[in-house]
Amino acid sequence: MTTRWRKLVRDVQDAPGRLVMIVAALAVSLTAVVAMLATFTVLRREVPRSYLASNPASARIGLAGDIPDDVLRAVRARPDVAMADVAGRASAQLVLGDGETLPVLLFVVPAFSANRVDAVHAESTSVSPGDGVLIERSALALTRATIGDSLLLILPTGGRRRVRIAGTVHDPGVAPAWQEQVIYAYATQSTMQGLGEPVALNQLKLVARDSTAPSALIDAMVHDITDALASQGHAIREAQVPPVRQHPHQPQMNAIIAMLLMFSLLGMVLGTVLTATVISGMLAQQVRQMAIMKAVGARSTQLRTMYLALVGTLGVVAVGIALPLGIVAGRGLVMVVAKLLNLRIESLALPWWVFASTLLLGIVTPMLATLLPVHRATRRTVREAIDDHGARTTSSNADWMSTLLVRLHIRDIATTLAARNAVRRPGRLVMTAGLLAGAGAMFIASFDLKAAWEEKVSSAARDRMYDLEIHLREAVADSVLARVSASLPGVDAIENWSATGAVRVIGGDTSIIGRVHADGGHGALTFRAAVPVTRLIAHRMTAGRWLQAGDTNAVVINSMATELIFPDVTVGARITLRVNDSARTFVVVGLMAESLTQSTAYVTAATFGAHTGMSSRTSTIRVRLRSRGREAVATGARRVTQALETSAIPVRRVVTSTRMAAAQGGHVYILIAALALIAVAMAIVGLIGLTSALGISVLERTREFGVMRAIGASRAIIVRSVLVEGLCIALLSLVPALIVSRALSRVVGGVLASVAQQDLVLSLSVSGVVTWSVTLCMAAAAVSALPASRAAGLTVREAITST
Amino acid sequence: MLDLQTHDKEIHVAEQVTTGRLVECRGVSRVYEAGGERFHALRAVSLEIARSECVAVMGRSGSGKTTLINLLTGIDSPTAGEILVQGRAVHGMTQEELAVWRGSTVGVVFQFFQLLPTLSVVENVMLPMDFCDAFPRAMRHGRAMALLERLGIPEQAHKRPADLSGGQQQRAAIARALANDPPLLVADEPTGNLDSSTAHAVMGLLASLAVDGKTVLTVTHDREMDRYFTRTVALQDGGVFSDTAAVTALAS
Repeated sequence: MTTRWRKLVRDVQDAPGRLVMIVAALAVSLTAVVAMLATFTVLRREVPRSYLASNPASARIGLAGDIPDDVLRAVRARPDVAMADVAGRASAQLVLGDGETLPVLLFVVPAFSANRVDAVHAESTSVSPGDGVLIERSALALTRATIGDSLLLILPTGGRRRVRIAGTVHDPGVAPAWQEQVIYAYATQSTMQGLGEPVALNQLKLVARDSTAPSALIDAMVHDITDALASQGHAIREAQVPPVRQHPHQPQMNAIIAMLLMFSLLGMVLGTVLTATVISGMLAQQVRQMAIMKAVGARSTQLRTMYLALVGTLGVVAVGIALPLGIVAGRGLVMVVAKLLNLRIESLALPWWVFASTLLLGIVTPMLATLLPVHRATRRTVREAIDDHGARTTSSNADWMSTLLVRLHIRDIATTLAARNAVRRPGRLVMTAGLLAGAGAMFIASFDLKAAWEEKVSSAARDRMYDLEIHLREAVADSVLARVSASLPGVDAIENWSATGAVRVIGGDTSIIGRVHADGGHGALTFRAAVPVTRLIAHRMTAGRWLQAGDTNAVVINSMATELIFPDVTVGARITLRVNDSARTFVVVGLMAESLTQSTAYVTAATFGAHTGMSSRTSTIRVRLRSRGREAVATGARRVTQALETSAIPVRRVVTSTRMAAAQGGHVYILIAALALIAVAMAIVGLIGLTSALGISVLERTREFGVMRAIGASRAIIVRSVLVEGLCIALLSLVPALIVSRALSRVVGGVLASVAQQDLVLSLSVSGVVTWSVTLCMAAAAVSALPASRAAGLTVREAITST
Repeated sequence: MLDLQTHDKEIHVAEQVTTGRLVECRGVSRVYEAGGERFHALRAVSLEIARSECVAVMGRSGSGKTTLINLLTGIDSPTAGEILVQGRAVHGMTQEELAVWRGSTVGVVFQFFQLLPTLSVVENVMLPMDFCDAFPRAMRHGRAMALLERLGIPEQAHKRPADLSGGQQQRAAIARALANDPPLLVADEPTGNLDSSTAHAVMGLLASLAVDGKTVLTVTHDREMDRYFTRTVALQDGGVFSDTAAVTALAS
């Protein structure tokens, strides 16, 4: 090794702290990037693989009764159909130990071994439940039971039967049960017959030969099949065409990936700035040594090669650290997302380009980022460099800032020194404050977004002024219900909010009911009776008006319906809905903001009754209890259910406000968690930047501290000067952080709102600003303390003779 | 016209080499600007230094001593005038050319020694050879040790500069300046940071180098050191106030 390279090695050995800082800065930002790249690549590959492995149905066609074998054979024989199966679906209730009930969605097939469409993957046992049922793995915890235990179910016809949990399965076609607060159970027809509750196998599920075909082609295929079935005399009840090859939570998934990518990009920018800042500081330390080397014959190109090689080597070390850490973190994140979206990850392997990108980002990016500072430092003449005592104020920016500070007439000498030192090197100040501002902006923006999502959940809870939604087994006459209601215990208000499924009809096409997923919920449109003068929901109108008592064909559509199903509809427009096998036309009188509620079209109870054959009858009631709160609601649900059943009004399902809140919160939990993680990561990157900048600033001024000590400055003045300098830089970064955070919130919030199909109301998060400001000031003081005490501890001689 | 100029230049170089002139300054000025004011550090200085001369540059603080040697070593560049060393126009060189030229032609000794703190003494001496590729790699260590031997500090070779006394550090700095065997050695107040006896030892050493054929140019304040020099140039307010070589020439 030649002498010059030995010098570099010794520099590294003699100042490990500074170089450790550089490696740490690089490694932290690179770890974040690798983690996000790993998450992105694995999820992008595994989400479709996990979902598509189940052969999700391209379409589900519902007939009035069991699907005959000849129909199934005929459909299977079609050249455009790759596979087809029959299935049935029924709703039941699970009675928990404390009497609380949970909705159960029962998927019934002739035999699991022969079922290929919407296939489930056995988790704990072979797919032969015998006389028991299989439970979706994400639902097992909700049942509060384990495999082998018996569940008490209230079956579709009202009978209570115990049924054994034979095992668990993974069904990638449904959202996690804890998010939806629904138990997904899987049974064979023979099991249901054994329970005395055969379920009609009336659903024809098929997978198109060209599974990537656009919706329009699948729609055409479904039309063709339904027309053929209708001509053979089969009554078509519904046809569902879910979004092509799209997981029910794909919008959430897209939001997460978009957010991760955006923040990782910004994180890389911060990491690069951080590297350039630290390297610039290190070069500032080496200015005189460079001058000496030039004085003894070194050329600028030789020096540039040396320092760029050093940066490259540090990059290699950082890559060595960041790659395994990032992969571990990325895999952890993948597993969290997989759990949150109920995905099965077959492989965590990363493609070669992730490694190549990491090498490129970790080694080449810091070298490129430091090219300019290295060039500047090595280009300086020997005289300029030798005369550099870290006290240049030649910049016009520094001049006006110093002038401004002089005009402020700060009386305290330590504060004056600190403030002027902070602005002495405007380039570095801009870089450090910019780095902090960037981190702060991302921190505050992530808090804004988190607050916006939390507000979404809170707003949904505020709008919902009822505690129970009770689905009755059969529609009950309003007069009977009114009589019974008066005697229901602890009830403050009760209203008719009956509901049924509907589909938008466009251009006379009445066979396609919508882009509904396998669980029958995601993508569906609910047609619901509403009370014109209601006490149970807060209807916030975004356009038009709420329903009035005399309305006959008026409809109000909520925000998700507007977004997903009626994007072209405004107040006054006519829309046609297919309800209970017949199409009806309604006039849109209002658009309503309703957070985290599935697509719903509201009509008056009278209109609902007229179109569903339930005039003066009610199938769903909403109840507000006198005592609210978690326990009170659970108790109230039991009492009301008992009272209704005692009055011969059997209950099919009770959904409590607690469960609704859990379901709504569950949908946004992943976003909130991801945003919080990003906020913390950004804070770490920013504070590493501040630490390195201050450390270098103090090292650079060691000689100056010696002079100060020589002319009588106390240790306290030196310590205070460094501490206040750190605080000055931190405080200077706050205003740009706030300004940038506004733009960042808008951009990221816009993307999130669009991909998650939710309107987000973004405002400045005060808690984000306060948390960042306090953390920043405390961290600035903490990271200044060490270099400050070291500077104060130097003797005058040590300080003045430092190189 | 151009040909004539080139011809003149060639004649001048030949003349400089044959007449034994190593350094020649012609009407050299250096003006600094600071705070909107112009400061004339050197005013039209002309000076010739022959080979093997041991020259002291003296003068009060601000007289232009350091500026003069910074210009002669290419550390700084003149605002006007010409500087030729070994016939090469220093004032016209780029920074890269200056670095290469300095490595082969000038050894610089600083007042504060300016040894690189992370290298050992012998490594500091080897550094110029490395940068300039002046000697085969296998020879460099031996040459550095020989220089340290000559300067009387071979036992300090593997210590870090911080472990040496001021005098030892200055000897190491002189060894480094001699590493590439340059014809010209320039020292800026090399004894300013040393005690009296060490200062005399260092000056004696520099004088002996001149005896051995090196041209030595030293900035000093110390009148006591006069005896080590063959010539003294005194500067005042940026101009040559007195030059013993001129006196000698006049007398002869």
